Amino acid sequence: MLTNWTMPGDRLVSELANERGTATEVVVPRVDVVDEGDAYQLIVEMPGVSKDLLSVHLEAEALLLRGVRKAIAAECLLKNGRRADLPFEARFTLGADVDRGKIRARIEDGLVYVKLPRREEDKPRKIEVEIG
Amino acid sequence: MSLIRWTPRTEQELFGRDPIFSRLFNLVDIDSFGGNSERTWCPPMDLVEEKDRLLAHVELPGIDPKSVQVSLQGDLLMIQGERKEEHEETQGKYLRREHAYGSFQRSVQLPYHVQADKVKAQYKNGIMTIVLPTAEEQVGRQILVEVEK
Repeated sequence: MLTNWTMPGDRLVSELANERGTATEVVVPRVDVVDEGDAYQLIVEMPGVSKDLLSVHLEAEALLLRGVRKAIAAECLLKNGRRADLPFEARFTLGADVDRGKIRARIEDGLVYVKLPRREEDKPRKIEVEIG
Repeated sequence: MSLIRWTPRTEQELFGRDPIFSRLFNLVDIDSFGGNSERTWCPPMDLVEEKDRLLAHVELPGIDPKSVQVSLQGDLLMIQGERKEEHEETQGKYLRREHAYGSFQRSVQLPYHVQADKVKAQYKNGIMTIVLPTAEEQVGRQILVEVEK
């Protein structure tokens, strides 16, 4: 099983804090989690983050994704915008069924795709029923 | 009685230029509690002023840029399109779904005239940047002010 301990409410607070220019706050990105049977797929929104500003770390029990969107010069902003770089951070607790050696990540058009294959012995399988 | 041309309400009319309320409006408008694709959602936007142009940066991660329509009606910039479901054709099932899908629309009243025929858009890293060159009468226009003695 795969869990994420951040909630949409956290994002609201974090984003409002960012509007106030507090650079220490981070944005918790929106996430879709899909169970594809033999693997989990995470799709994490990080608009404006390039490949070189994305990091994916595997910790003992968790997967940590960090990205940075560069700031726009404050004197040019008319509407919204950030006064500092915008950091994204998402942390997922990994279950025992995830094969840690086969995790793969890629970023495309502001979306981070993380494939978390299930261990062979934990993959769903059809069990033949003998009629005796 | 006179006829008044109808234009869609922009967030600026609703909240003025307060970035906090503007941001709150974006967040509340996005259905992050169930992903109801029937509703129109509203992508966040930054509007940037440079020497001779305006730049609108719209957050549209994972979108096909060809599905986005950018239009200008007077000084009202409108961006609309559709974000399709990632997994509608796969066998996967959602365990968690926070992304906004379906039709989106965003409009912003520009602070001054732009050259409508020279507007361009590009898409990179999930951000659509719309480049709006300032109308020539706006660039370097000198306003003479009479000073009373």
